[in-house]
Amino acid sequence: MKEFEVKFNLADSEYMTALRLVAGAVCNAHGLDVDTLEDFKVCVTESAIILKNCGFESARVVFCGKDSAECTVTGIGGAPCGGDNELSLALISALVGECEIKRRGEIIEEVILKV
Amino acid sequence: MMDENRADELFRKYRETKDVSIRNELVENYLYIAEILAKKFAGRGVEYDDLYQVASEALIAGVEKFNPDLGNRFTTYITPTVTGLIKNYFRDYSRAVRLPRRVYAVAARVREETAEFYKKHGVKPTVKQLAEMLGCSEELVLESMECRTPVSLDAQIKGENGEQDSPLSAVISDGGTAFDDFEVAESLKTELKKLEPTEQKVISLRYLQGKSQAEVGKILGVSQMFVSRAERKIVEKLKEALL
Repeated sequence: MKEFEVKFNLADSEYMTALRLVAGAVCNAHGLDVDTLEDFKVCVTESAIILKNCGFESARVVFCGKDSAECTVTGIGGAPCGGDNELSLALISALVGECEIKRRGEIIEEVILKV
Repeated sequence: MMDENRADELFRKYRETKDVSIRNELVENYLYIAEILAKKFAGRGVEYDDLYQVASEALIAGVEKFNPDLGNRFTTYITPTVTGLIKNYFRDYSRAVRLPRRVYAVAARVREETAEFYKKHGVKPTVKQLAEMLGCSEELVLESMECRTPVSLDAQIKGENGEQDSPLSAVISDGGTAFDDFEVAESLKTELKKLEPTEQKVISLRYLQGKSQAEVGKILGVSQMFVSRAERKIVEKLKEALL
């Protein structure tokens, strides 16, 4: 699957629904069942919320993947700082097949999800 | 617009013959009532087209039942009937967050078909399969999956195997004693200990402290929907271990 990118301002919470729809459509393109699809949607938006909590201004969400759906959520701009997102990350790990977190010091900069 | 005598004559004829063409003539003659009443209630959270449809259906039912020999005029009879049905429609279908009727209807069917598919095949369907089953586009299925319907506690739950319908409030557990009542409490305790600390925390907050999903979300710093999904996963994991 070719890369598909979405970039939006994290202050605009109304775009979360748009992001969920895109995530759902990507899972559908991979022929995933509705439960996996719902889990993936929640994890993608939750990753964006984590970046928002870390102080990023915008998020770039790139969907890709050959055999399964993959998504990289990256924080952009703002004044990032560390935050307590461990529980949130643990729950994400419970919902998707693989979850990779990229940090700079205490700050979570990127969340990579794979189902 | 026909005069009252002619209308009464047609009502009598319809009652005798049940001729659909007569019924349709009467409906067309009084369709303006449906239009007026639908307009009266438009702009209050339900689309005009939906209201007009409800009013028109009520008008057809009214024409079919009306008996001119009981002494009432049709307009006197039909106005409160249509108004009442429009109000019922508001009660049942208006939502805090409004959705187009087609999305609302598909959302309900998506839930039903998903459950049916799971019963039959033991796995959840894909969006494509759902779209095929429902005869609609995959986009519409995806869109409808985004809607969550607030449900009244007074909403009636259909009884199974001849049982009577009951209100939703009667079948929701109180949560506080759920684990105490569980007949395999000991096995459950063992399985709970095997859960990840985060998962234990979710279960503890939800079932032992009786907090709502929204409250748990607030405590853990995640969304309510996220708690809902995590909780379902944990419960599935426990069910798998116990069955």
